[in-house]
Amino acid sequence: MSLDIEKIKHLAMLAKLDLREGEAEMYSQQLSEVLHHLDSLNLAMSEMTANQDETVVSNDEIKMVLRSDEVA
Amino acid sequence: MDKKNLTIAEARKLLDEGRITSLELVDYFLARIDRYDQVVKACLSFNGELAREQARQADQRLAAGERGGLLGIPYLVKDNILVKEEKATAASKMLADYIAPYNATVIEKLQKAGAVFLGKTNLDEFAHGSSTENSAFFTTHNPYDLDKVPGGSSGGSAAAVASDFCLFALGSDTGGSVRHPASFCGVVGYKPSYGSLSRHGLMAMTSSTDVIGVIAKTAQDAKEVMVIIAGGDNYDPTAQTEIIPSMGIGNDFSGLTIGWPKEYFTEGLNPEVQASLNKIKEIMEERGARFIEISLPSTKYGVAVYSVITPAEVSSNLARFDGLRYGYKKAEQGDEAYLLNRGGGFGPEAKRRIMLGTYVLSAGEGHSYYDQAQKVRQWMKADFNQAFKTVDYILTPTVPSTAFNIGEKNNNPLSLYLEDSLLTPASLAGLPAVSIPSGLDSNNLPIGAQLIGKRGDDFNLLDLADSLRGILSFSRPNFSWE
Repeated sequence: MSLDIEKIKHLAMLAKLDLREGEAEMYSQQLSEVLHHLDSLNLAMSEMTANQDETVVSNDEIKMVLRSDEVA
Repeated sequence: MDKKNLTIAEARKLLDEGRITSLELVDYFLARIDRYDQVVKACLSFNGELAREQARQADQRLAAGERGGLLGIPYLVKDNILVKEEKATAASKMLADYIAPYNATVIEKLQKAGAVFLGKTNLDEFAHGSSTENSAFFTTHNPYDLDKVPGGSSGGSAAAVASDFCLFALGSDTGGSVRHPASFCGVVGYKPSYGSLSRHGLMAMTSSTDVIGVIAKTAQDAKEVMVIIAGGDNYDPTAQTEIIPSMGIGNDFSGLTIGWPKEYFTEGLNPEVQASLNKIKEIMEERGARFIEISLPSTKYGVAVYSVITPAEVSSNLARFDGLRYGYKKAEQGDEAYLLNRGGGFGPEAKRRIMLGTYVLSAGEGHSYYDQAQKVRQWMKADFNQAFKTVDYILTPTVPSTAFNIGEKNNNPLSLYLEDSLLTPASLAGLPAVSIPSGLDSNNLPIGAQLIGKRGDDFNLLDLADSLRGILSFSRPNFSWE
């Protein structure tokens, strides 16, 4: 996968980032290289054994902390 | 009284015995910062007047008979942690003039303990980086070789401790940002268990891995600081990890099983780093530790997982900075204000991460990366859990090589991300880890070794790290600029 200049400009617009002259070109090249590295996640998925539980419940085993339900 | 290279433990003894005052210590460090920081460039701001006032108060408490802890101990703080009424810039143009309205919880605790705040240290903008070159203000230099980077993102804190500008410094570690610069600067860098302290007042970057960490000269010193700053509060609901008490690991390691993960010792490892790690293994074995080779096959995907999760969370956490109520402002209202304020306030690395994060959180092609990264992250945790069924601690290199030249990796973000290849796994799994100096390479640059422990086993981990201090016989040389 790669992020071409048009896609970079679209992402910058979504993220509300004004890009200066030449910035989109630079980020397109750099982030495409990063995305190329991220493609190794496909390998990781196939390397993960079939019996592994793939369900992602939560990032951390924390209890939810709630304040008491009272009118202040 | 020679104050050079004092540790917290040594200063503690001198203070408690009345042989030195906190004010003398503060004057010593302020004088060093004043004289040498124009060369090292570790600090962003310091407040001598406030520091001397706090030191006088600490001296009064000492005179009244109070002893121990961090009373009268001077420290520096990474500039993404809030200290009330002081600048908190995150080394970003976005917050160049921002004054913190409240204290971070860790700062509250340090103040109560009587530790003395000296000032703020440089970092990669919003803690994004591994070299401190992403600071919007200036690059910090490695005290061992001024042409080299100090590592990052807590590069200012690590360089300051190595340069003897303070007795300890706070940093933050999201994917290695305390351990990496500690390794490059020859000091101890401790990343606590995820959730073992409150992050209230730390600027959020990647909330699922962010922790505040400690950079000090010894692991024992890092532990002294953690004893004070550990624990939760009502502001950080993730701070629920209890640290188990020390069992007193001494110099006899019999009964300890250490994991040697083969995936951390691959071809890319610098031979001198490998040799240094081999030496530690040998010494620990002589003292009775049993080493077993283990496999953590998910390790090689650490940077890929981190490079998805981190931008995703960064793009959300940095969405709050729009310059409207505070921060960099170029325009007052309308869509144009968001675009210009954010476009002008953020530097290139923050922008890269925000855009990449926006991409992987968008519906469609980008989102599959995020799904995959979360699954591989679970696998990574399972890998560690499996390993810790048979080993007590894991020994690895901190970074595959030693400090690189300033400018060397500037235009290649991926090569900088790969700097953290041995550091991100412990972060993604929420485990405590510490980098300790293990020697110098042939260019006189520090090498670091990393110990990783079970979640919540921080104090024993630091005890083990500290017991290696004497036998690694590493002491800092006189620097060329001193």
